[in-house]
Amino acid sequence: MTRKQAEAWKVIKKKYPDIRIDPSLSQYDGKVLFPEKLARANEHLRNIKLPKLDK
Amino acid sequence: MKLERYELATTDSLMSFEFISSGPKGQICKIIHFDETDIEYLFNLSFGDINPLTNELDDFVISNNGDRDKILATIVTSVDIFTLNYPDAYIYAEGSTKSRTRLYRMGITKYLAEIQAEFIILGRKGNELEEFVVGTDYDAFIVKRKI
Repeated sequence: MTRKQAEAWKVIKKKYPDIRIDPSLSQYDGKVLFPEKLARANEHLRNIKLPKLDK
Repeated sequence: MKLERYELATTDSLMSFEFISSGPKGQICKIIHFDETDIEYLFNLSFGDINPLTNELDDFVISNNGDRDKILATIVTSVDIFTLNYPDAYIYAEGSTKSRTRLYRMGITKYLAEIQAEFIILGRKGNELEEFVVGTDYDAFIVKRKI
């Protein structure tokens, strides 16, 4: 966990005290779990221009 | 947001979340996962069941466990947590079926005030994006934390 992540984690734990880290879930890190869904999203997003939403 | 939801487990990266749906059909392990898309800062939200026998993931299964609203609130919570860690992220959510996308729309509508307090919500219709309008039939949704 980077320093930035550790700071975010403090905020998250304060807001959601029941959340926990489960090391077994790290098996999913860096993996695409639903490749067909991601491919479909990329296809649908190809011609979309994201607006800047820093309101 | 004070919504009734399930307890979440996650990883150091906060890219994956797991919870147990509990209802008449028993206990069902669910996973929420955020994938990077081809567009910078845009993440695709995936949601599905983990098959306890094969450990395979299924995003088409319909659990009918009588806890739809609690599950939707749990997904909303995962987006809140994910974007606390990645505040610049845009989240793209499209159901695996049209009925599931409609379910997402119902969830957004139900919790619109709570969600809009912290997020901007867009609806996608074809190649067009617009600010979410209640009652409009969208193909997908994009959520971004307000800064």
